[in-house]
Amino acid sequence: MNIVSYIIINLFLFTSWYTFFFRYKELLSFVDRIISTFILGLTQIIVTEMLLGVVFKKLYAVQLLLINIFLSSVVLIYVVSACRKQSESSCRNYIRSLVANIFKEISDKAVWFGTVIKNDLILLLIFILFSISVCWIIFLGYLFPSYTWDALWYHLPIAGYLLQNGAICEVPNNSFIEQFINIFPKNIELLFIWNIIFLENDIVTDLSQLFFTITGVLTIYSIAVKLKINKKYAIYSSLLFFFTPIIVLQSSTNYVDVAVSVLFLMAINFLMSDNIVSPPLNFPLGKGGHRGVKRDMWGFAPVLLSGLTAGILLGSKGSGPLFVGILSAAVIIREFIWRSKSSEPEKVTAIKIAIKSFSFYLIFFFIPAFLMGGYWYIKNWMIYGNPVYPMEISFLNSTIFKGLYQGIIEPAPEVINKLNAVTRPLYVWLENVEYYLYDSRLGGLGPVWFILFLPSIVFSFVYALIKRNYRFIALLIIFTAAFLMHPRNWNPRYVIFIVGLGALSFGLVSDYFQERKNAIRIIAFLLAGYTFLISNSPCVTPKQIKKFMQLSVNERTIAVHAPFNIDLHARQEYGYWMWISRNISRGETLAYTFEPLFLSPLWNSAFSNKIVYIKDDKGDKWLKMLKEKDVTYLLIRKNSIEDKWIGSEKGKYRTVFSDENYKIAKVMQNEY
Amino acid sequence: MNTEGRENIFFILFILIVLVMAVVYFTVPERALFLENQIKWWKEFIE
Repeated sequence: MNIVSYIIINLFLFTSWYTFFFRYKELLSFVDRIISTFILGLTQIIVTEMLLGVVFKKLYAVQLLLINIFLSSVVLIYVVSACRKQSESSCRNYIRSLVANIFKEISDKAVWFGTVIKNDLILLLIFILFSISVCWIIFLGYLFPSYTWDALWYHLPIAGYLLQNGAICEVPNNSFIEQFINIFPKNIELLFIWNIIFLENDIVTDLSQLFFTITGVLTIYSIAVKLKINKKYAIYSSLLFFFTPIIVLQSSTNYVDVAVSVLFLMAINFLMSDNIVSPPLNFPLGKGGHRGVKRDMWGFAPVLLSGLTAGILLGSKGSGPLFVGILSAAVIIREFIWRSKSSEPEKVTAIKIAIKSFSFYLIFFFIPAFLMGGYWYIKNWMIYGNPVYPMEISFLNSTIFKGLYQGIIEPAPEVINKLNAVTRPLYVWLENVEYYLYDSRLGGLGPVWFILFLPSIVFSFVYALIKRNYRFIALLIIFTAAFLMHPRNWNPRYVIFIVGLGALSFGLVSDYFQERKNAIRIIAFLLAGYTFLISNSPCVTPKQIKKFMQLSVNERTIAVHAPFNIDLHARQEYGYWMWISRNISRGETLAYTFEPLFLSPLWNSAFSNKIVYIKDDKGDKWLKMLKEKDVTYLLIRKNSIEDKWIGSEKGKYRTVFSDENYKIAKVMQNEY
Repeated sequence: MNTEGRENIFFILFILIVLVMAVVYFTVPERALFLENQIKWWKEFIE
């Protein structure tokens, strides 16, 4: 039943938005409509969860299912009713023809794609590698629990606390990480929740980023086509974008870096839509040689979609404001140029154009972006007096927002500190690493980026200058600005978007060298094949894969996995993690009395139990607090003061788990 | 020089740069250990 409701609601939600966008097929290309469907579906998920979590404090599966069925029904009814006004056929006939047209378009595109790759053996081979990789990612994501450090440390605990409380609210600041759990923007964690709440387990939530990866591939294709790159090379560009080790490895983790970079790419893609960029070239020139073009009735739609995408990005990570700032500048400048070109200079002053451009930006970009991502910052401002708390914001030696930290908390590796701004990224791009990791600090962009994409960027830049390809130059400026302004641009996972620029540049280069393309295509295939073979993480070994294939779903836990990345630190925690995953069920409350390594393993895989930190210097008060919080299980350190206190309460607590370091005691019913 | 000749030169230059980048990339000291780790992974996978 859980799986059925999960599949049905996802099908319903995304189908309704796809049908909605099908009406605007003259405005948006097929690929852009798929990307738009993803964005609107994601928007609906985030908005409904926030509505239930922030306003009604009822973030539960049934309510979420009903509200989404309602909203998607409204979307479908709107589509049918709006189209029926233009058609005289009966409702049944109209729906039948709509569905037939949708399927026809999809099958036509599939046939076209099949023909293109069938006629290019290398492209076909790269596509096969891509398909195998995606299947492998899905297989690993399904087989293994979420094992990455930050996922266990705060991404999943954020989901855990929201599910536990049935509300989006602050949690008590008992530990270092809980402070960050409170202040981090949580849009992507809301997607993680979406992939947990109906299924009542966390089996597929670590595949959440794979949707962004696939949409990212489509986005690169769409941008490439807008750059007038031959569609076949656009497919090359998009598939090669995928062959980035950090993207492959992060696609099966509960991190947010792929999502952030892909959202940035998607927002740029929407801004490149023809109807907002410039008047069509064949548009008649007006007086004085300007094009007196009027914006298409729906010309604002791509900007609105870009704004929504930027908003989701804003609410996904603390670096969101940086990306939104760059996108905002791009929207305003583009709008100003467009309006300057399309208006008669003798009638409209530059100030008027600037005001109109800014108003357009405010209405169609800033407001949707703010609505989708601003909540987290406003909430922090209201609660902590600083939208980006705990970071302190200063300008010219005066503090604007007080915080706890003045710089980046996590220090850079020593080797990075010794290098300058130019050699830092080069050192990382050369990948002086012994293996790849999902959060690879000194590598992860892979050989396609360094060997093929970097020279492509230089060549495309020169080519674009010669050919006055302002679109590509504008794109280059946006990407470069985002890269240079990112405070940790030496860390590949924060700047995955630059691979997108490389992929697009490769498309331009391939287009330019058309007649001699074979050598480039062969190099591209060899590098993609190499990346396919070497994007293995030491966290998932063949031995562990074989072992996990023999285990039942319930036995595939993080403690059994014992992944390389956490093993050294977490070894002594495995005992109680395993016990909790097997024994703590829905409705139970587990109290803990120390700062655990990770909070996530204190919940079961459905996140259906509650966890609570209870600590006090006085035994009586502590025992009373256990009663008040309806605690059913206690996790304590062995030989701690709490261990002595429950030891003196004969018959009230029964030890159910004990190892060298920890003890779990069940609170007996007769205690109450 | 005609357009085709210029394109030929650009093409050769591009391929040469790509080859130089490949040599630089694959001769990084850690690459041998990296490949050794990956070979180990695949050997274990095939077993």
